[in-house]
Amino acid sequence: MFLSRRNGFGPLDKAIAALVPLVLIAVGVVVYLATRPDACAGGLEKHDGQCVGVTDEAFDADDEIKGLIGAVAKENERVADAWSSPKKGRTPIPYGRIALMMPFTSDESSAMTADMIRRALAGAHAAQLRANSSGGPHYQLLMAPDGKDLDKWRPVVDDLEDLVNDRQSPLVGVMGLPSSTPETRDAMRALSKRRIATVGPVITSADMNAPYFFKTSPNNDLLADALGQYLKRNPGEEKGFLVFDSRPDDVYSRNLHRLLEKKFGKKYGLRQRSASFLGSTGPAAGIPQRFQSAAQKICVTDSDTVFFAGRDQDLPALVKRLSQEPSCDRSNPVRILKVGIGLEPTLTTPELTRMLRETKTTLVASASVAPEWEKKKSGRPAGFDGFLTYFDRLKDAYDFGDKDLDDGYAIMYHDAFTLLANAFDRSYSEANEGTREVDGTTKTPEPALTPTKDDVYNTLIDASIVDTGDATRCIGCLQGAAGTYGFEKSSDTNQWPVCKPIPVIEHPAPANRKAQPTYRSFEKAFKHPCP
Amino acid sequence: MHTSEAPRLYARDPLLQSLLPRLTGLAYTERARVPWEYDKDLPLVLLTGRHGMGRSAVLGALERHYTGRLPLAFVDTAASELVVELLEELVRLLAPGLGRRFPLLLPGLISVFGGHGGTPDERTRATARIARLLIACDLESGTEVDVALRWASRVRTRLEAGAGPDAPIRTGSGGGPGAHAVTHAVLAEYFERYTRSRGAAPLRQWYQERYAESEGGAGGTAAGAHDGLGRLADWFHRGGDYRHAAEQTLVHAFLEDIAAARSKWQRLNRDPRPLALLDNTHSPAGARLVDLVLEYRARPGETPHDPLVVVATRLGDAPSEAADAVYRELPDLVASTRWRRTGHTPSAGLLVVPLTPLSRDDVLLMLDAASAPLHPYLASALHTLTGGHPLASSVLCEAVLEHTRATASGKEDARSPAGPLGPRNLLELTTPDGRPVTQAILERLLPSPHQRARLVPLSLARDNTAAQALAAHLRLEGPEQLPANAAADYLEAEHWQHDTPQDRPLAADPLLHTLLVHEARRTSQGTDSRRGWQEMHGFLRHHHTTSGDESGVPDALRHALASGDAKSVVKGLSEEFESEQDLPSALRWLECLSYTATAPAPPAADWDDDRAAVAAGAHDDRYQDIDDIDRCINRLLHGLWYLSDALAEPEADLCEDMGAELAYLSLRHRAWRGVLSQAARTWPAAARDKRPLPLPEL
Repeated sequence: MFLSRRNGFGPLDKAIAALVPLVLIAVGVVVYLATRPDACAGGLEKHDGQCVGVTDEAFDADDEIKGLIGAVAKENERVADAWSSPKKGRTPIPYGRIALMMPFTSDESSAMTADMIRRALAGAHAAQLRANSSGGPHYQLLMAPDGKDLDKWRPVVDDLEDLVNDRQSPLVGVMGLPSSTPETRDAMRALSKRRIATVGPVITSADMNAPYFFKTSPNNDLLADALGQYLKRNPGEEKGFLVFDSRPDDVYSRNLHRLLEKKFGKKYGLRQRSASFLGSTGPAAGIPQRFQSAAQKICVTDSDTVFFAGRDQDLPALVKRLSQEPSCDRSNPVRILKVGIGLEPTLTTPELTRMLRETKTTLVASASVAPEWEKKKSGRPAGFDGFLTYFDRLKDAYDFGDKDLDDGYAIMYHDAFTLLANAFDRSYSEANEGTREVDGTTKTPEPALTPTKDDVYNTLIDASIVDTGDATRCIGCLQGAAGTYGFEKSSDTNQWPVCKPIPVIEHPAPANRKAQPTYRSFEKAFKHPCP
Repeated sequence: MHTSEAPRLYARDPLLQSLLPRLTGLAYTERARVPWEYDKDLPLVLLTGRHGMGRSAVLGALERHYTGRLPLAFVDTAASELVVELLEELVRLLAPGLGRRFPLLLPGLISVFGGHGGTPDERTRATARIARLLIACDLESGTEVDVALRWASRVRTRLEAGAGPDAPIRTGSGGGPGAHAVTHAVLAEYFERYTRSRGAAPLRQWYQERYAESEGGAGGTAAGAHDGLGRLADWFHRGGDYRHAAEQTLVHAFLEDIAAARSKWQRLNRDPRPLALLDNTHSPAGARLVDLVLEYRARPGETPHDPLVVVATRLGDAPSEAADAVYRELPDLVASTRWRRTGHTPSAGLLVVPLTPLSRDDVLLMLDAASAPLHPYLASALHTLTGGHPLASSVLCEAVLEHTRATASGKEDARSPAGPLGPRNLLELTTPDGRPVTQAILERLLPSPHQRARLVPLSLARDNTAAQALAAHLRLEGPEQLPANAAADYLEAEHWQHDTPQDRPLAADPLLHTLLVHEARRTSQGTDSRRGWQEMHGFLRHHHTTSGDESGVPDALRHALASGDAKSVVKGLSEEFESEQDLPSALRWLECLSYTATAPAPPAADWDDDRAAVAAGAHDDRYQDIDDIDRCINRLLHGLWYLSDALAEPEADLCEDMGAELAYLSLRHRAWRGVLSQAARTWPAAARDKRPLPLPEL
């Protein structure tokens, strides 16, 4: 009807007038529900389909680590309950929070493989259980997934910053940051800018430096130095060759490539004798792991000392390629020198070991941890036993795969957590002792003073290695599973570990090799050897 | 929603504010829907009343308030001679407001108009009607003339092209040569140009079925594809019963189209119903249209009901054959009409609402707009004079308002009475355009000037015989044999009265009579003329005196008084008072006195109205030559004469004085004491209430 509404509104008109807003509201609600970011369990937020953020609860992740995440969440709840509603007769136990910022999901090209994630989390959780079983404050292990490619760090850092202001259960620090990528560097800087102490357990790129960023692993420089010490003792034929990862965005490989060239380039003529490949970690940029030309060149040049500047994941492919290379003269032994946290279990599989033996090839890895520590009691760092106790308990309950300690992730993550926990412990006891002295009373102040992240940082950066004149002593050093080491407040060390043992591992292990002295980081800076 | 130009209607609210909103579903003044009183079957509302009762005014008000708010058509049925022309008007006015625009009726009307008439003038008019229909139904755009020309040329082309040997050109029994060919061409043009073949089939089928029973009958001349429609046009042009049947078909098509145009959504949404206002359905075409609509609605069975709200007006009363019609007074309409179809006669669908006169309160409201204080008795006088007749009341009120405006602004019209306006001057007022009010009102109440001119003098006569004599005396000739009878017939035709008794004045209606008498007084052309007031009353007095009948005496006295000769009237009454002794003659004397006193007052030009003063005894010194009894009769006569005037205010003193005079007379008569004293008691009250003076009981 074209007549205007001068004839009033009928019942249907009124019904529509009432229904239309309702329908619009309903549509709006439906659209909102359909398009809003999918709810992630545990208070995480969805960014580009991945759940990221900071949580102390269980959340969706790879199936292999679900159980472990649940265990962490349960422990976190227990810790919180022990503070807020302690059992009868118990005093409330204060607690700090340590965030584990790393990917919790993986795929073929992700920064961490599923095994790495599993072992890293296991190491951190073992350290948490260990810290919570002793006196002093307890710890929550906050899980902070930052995307499988480490690129969703911004919301995580924002969430972490919010936690800093919690006076009751402060954020002690952040650990994780598994890989030396540009994203990790940005995240590290962002955290440092917010003055949050951060520990990178498996960071080895020498240029990953920020004032608040501590590393428990030696950097590539130190690792290469350890290799240098090995080469001095085992010179071989001194025919060198360099195989390097040509990925431009991989800070770790680039850093390592530069280092190896710097340290061994001249002596081994690596500038002339080198080959590149495309590493498998990172976004697609071509066919990865093409080692044919490298293998040919190595054989043709008769090289016996091959420096590998790449990630461990790519190394088995090179070994395979070398074993298949027909132009090789199998009579002379070949060494492939690499650096890393440990020895990837993929490098010690029976198949690969057989190939290595057949081609008379030895992998020589300068590492943060040595697989043999687990098997042999001798030569084991002092803090290793404590770690193993808690780790074995977890191992009984969860499956971490074969050779679960070989890659060193569990050990290094354990150490990183322990480093932060120890610093908080010390800060806490010092803070409360100090108050008592000032007050002149003998009572424990109520409530107990909780140290801030700045206190934790100051404790961490406090020089722990001192020269007593006739020996070098370590005060407040970390007695970690990967050795006993500390940090120096000097620009030389750049928050890299001092006196960190750097074992050099040979695989397959040569028969009747005498035990060689272990290289210690920055040991040369002291008159006396590391403790 | 009232505008200053729109005349306000008084005492019609039950109709406007209650009944029509309940029928259309739309409030009269507000933008609000109103619950329907009838879900399906609707009554046809018939407003009845005499001239000036405001029938057309009601329709006009409805049109003003509902135009643009619902599909509305206001048609004066008296302006057309044919039902199809009324249908054409209705389609033209209703189509723009309806969703579907008369797909069924349109080919029927076009076939009827297409083959219509023979003279070029009629043809042009018919083509113009077709053009109007096409434009209204949105099938063509442009001016009426353009569309008509286009249509005519297309039909002509079609006729010329089809003039081959196979063309269905036949000679119809009703139309001229080629009439069927024309109808055929017109329908072919319509269907091929304006309908899709899929849509046209059901329409043809509908018309086909209407004439199925007559297949192979007398109408074997209808042409090929357009059988039903061709037959419709054929029957229409045959006239008589055939035309009636064709009109019935078209009215049914019209109502079915209206019903089909209303979607289920509109019904559930209670969208206002379309409204058809049919004025003057006492006209032949209007009456037939109303009958056909009623017939359609009275069909037996569960046929769908059309949603058209019809409000028709009719002069006089409802048609006498409408036996089953429901009658409702205006106040009955406020809550519910309680109308329900009883029986199958068409008139059962009729709801008759006689329009009633206004009350004094309404008159008071009408005078409310006066800029100056009015005479306190003015409203009453006006109401007594008009009897609440709406037209007369509104014209007089408007004249009063105009007079107060003119007085206030100092521009007094020479023709209007000077000075403050009293009730007695009401009839001397002029309308805003300067015409005397009585003339203005009479023109509306008696539309024929010829009959009006005849009725004005004849209204002075007491009965038919006297009127006839006066007509002969005035040489009122006409085509009719007896002018008085012709005038009476005219009054009956205009529904002023059903019959005219021989022994009563021609105009039975008091208002009409008063207006006619005043018009005679106003138009009196002096004493010399035959048409002079004195002359005419003199003639009538003579007529009654010479009739040789005793019963003529009061009339003779009355006319004598009307001509201003009070003295002889007093003399006559006095003589009888003195001579008669028995009681019946006492009654006769009182009757004569009261009847004589109803005489109209002479024109102001040759007579000073000092009746009230004489009655009060103020001029007794003028009557030195007569005795006390005569002076008493003189005062009594003047007082009653004055009070008999509809416009006179019945002052209490004057009324009491009349009682006193009668009481005085009762003491002076030997035998009439009882009768006169009884009258002395009852007359003052009756005079105060403007009731007829009661005769005492013996």
